[in-house]
Amino acid sequence: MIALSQGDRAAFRPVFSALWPLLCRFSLHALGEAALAEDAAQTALTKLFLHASEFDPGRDAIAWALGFASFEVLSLRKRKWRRERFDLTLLAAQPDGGGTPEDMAIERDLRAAADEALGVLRQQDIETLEAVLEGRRPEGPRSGATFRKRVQRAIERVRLAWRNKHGID
Amino acid sequence: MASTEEDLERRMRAIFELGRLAWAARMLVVIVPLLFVARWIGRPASLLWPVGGALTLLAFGLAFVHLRYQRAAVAGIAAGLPALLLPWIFRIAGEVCVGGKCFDPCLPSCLLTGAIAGGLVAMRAVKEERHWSFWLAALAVAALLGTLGCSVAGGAGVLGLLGGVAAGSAPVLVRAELRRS
Repeated sequence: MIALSQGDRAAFRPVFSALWPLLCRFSLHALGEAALAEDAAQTALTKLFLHASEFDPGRDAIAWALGFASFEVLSLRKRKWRRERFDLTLLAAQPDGGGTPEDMAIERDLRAAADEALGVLRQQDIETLEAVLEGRRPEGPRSGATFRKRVQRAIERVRLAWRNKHGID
Repeated sequence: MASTEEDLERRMRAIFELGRLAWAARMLVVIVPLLFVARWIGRPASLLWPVGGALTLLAFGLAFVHLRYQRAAVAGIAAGLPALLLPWIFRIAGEVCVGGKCFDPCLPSCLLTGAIAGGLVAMRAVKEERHWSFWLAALAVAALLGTLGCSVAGGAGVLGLLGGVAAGSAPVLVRAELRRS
């Protein structure tokens, strides 16, 4: 490292061969993820070679190299921590392809309000509405008109309950 | 070695060279003010551009190549400073009259400062392991810097400087060689 810092190009390969595996191992041990560790080791090595000419011969070369790697490891950890906690786009990305957190909150409130309104309905009305939502139709010659009537009545009751609770349709 | 690792090594080598360039750029902190001084003491731009440019490139290149040559460049600058300034000081002082005969002291001052530069550079070079390359590098820098000053006395001044450098260096180098052998 001393020879390299003085400009001796022949010392490059030995330094590279010694430091690259060392920085990789150190970063892997510190980060636990191979891809992240390689990123950290590469960035550390880049900074090390960029500042190689400034190396103080009185210092320990390994400690100097690990200093660069430690900084990169800490930076990556902090960046990862920030991304996990504050990245809204990451938070918004739902496994089922849902919307933004705002959409999710609105939907949650609407579901709670709907549950509240449906809670006052009779069991028969709930079953009728569930059948409509699931696309089921009762079979039989007169069942069509009866079912339509039941649906109409169930909707009327939901509307009434909603209006009583929230004051609007 | 895997190809990705070879690529990485190649990239790191380029980055190392970039770092060396940045390191060598520090020489400009020394050279550029000297060029301003040369301009300030009235050296013509037609001389300053080629000689100053060559001096800058040489010092920068030496610092880029190796720390040993960077030291040589610094030694050359230190040794060449009297040659830059002394002829100018003598020119301001005017003609010197000794025993009823008057003469321009610029030419003798170039010989003198050349000998000083040659001696200093040679004394510094013999301490180095690769003293010949060190001497040559330092001498080139000192000669370029001295040329800026000794050109006050024209071409003869520059020739005087070079003669002085040779006269100053030779005894030191020959003695060192004899000791080594």
